[in-house]
Amino acid sequence: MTSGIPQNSGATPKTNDWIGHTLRLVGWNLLLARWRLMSKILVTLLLVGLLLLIGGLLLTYVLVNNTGTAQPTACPPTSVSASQPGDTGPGSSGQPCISSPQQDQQAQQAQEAFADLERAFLTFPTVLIPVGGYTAFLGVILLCILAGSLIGSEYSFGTQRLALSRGVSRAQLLAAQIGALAILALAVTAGMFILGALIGLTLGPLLGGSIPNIPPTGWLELLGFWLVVSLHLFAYALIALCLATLGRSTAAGIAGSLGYLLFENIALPIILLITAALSGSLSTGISTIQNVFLGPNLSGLQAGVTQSPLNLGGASSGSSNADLPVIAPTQGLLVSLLYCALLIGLSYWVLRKRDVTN
Amino acid sequence: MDVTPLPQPSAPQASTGEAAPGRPVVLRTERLTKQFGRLTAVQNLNLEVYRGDVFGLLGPNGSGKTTTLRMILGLIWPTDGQISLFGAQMTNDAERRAALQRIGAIVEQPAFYPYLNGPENLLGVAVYAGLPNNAATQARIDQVLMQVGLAPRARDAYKKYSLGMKQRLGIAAALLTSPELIVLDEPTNGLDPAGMVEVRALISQLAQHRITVLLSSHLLHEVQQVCTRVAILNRGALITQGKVTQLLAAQGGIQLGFSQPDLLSQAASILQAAAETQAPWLRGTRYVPPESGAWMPPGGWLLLVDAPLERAAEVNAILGAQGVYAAEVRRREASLEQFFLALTSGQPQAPFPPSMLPQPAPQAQGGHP
Repeated sequence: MTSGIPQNSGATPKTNDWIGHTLRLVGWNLLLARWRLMSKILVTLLLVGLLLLIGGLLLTYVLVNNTGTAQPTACPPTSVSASQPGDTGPGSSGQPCISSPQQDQQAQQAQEAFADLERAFLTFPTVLIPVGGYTAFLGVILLCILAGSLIGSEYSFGTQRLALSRGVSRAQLLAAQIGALAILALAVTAGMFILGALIGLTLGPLLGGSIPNIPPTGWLELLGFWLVVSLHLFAYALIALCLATLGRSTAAGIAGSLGYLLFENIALPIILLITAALSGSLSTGISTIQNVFLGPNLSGLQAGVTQSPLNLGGASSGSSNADLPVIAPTQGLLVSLLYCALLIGLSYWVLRKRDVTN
Repeated sequence: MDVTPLPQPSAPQASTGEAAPGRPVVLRTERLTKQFGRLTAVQNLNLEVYRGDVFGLLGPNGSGKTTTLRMILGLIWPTDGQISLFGAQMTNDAERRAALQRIGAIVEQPAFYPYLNGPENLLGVAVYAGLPNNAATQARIDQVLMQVGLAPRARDAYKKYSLGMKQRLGIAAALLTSPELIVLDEPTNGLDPAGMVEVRALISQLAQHRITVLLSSHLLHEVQQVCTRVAILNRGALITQGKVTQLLAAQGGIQLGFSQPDLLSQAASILQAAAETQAPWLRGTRYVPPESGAWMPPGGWLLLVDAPLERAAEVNAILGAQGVYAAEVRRREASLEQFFLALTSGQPQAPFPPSMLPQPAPQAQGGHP
């Protein structure tokens, strides 16, 4: 060490402003997330997944289109009933003889409709339906991993005491983590939507899709869709935060949140099966169990927000509960917010009371 | 003069009765208590640290030092009692935040993000302390890294640092915000001897600049070298606190060793009589065990005479005039280590009457110098 007492050469005023200090802490948490290798890996996974999704949609579209251009040969009237499997009919093209002209026409229409649908899924704004669903599924998983890792590692590294011993209050510490997760959720969703929009604006027209004029209410629907998918990510990330805080470890945060996600995705189909097998008030009663889960409430909210004019609500938000009664948007919003409030409240209560030891 | 035993290193709770030094109190704890379940880690602790003090918090493992520091830093909530830091009550959130921003601290091992390098970690400390992320803060970070000798390896990830480098980064973090109080828990852990000397020098420089240092360490000679005041804890309770010089002043003196145990009590009587007549500078005597590794007299005990060291020859002459000759006369230096061990190791501390002195061993132990 060099001799001489260190003097603070720069005028670096400390802030005692609670909000200002907390915002700086939010920024610091985001920096930590950016600097982590794990974040880079997770973002790469998310992007690769998106490319696979778009690639899959494109491949499906190409296959449907190719099948549509190679029309099966129509069978002569007498051979319709007599046609056997393997019978290629009188034509020499080798195409199977499968149907009547009406059926051909119907099949062609179906193929065209499917191709149109595939093209629409690759065209803005409808492309946001698969992108939104994908974000609400894989984005949730990846954000839970990141949240569990960010919050849990504060305990494993011991850096929490570094913050608390420098004048950061426990409320600020938690608020900064929540703020960072909210921004990450918004940013991940925005990033995916922007990428989806870029793909839809370039690839869609190349495939013959037309980009509709979006009315102001359509932009509002897009905004709502972005916020709801972000809330979806944020709410599950809060589960990771809460469990990482309770368990004081990364493993608790990641395993707990993903475990809940898995549980939800197993429980809801079971509820659906039971509901389908029963009838009457018992069936209705059992179906209401879904009301206590986070996923169906977020899906209900999403369905309500994205009803019109673009009708982006067709996206499944990662839950396999599409056949269960859709929860009303207001109820979905309230339950989702209640979940967030409970998770934050529990985390704060534990953090507030806890002694920070080794 | 009463030939009373010298003050023993047992003091009543709270203090040695030293007068307040007339400087502002930076830290005060009152009846500070912490219980973990049934275990009382800290009990009714009253401490006072004044501005400019280099205050040593001493105690064996489990005595409550780290728990005390953690309570002061707001990491652990006290079960009872109060902490006042720069006059602010730690029970008030806003006051606690403001007070803690005036502190730099290392508690136990430094804790940093392993995947970040030195400057990035210090930026985090700056943000935690409420500093903005600007050029001035960056300059300050470079300055403290230079100060602790980490500049050449600053860009390495923290996980690649040696234990000593980690400790240096911890010290850099403690200095970063130009704090008024620096709390250092075992600051020389992991440092090589040169690094330890540098830390001691740094602490002395901090004190010269009237920066208060609260230091916890097991290295008692280190504490003795740098601390102006100390508090000694044992089993969560304060045994004593006061100025190092005052606490140790009572521990030194002229040490007399005798080849026969009964000469010990004779010498004490002769010196008591002399103090009342010809040697008023004799303040007292007491029996002490030998220092570790030193010559052990047959009875196992020595006579410590509380008198100016330059009077050693006169003490010897008084005894010689009565036909009592010491086998060894030496200056006994006051040592915080002995003081500490006597207080915390359960050794007998009260002076023993001759009848209670250990009987002479069959054979002399140790070697005569």
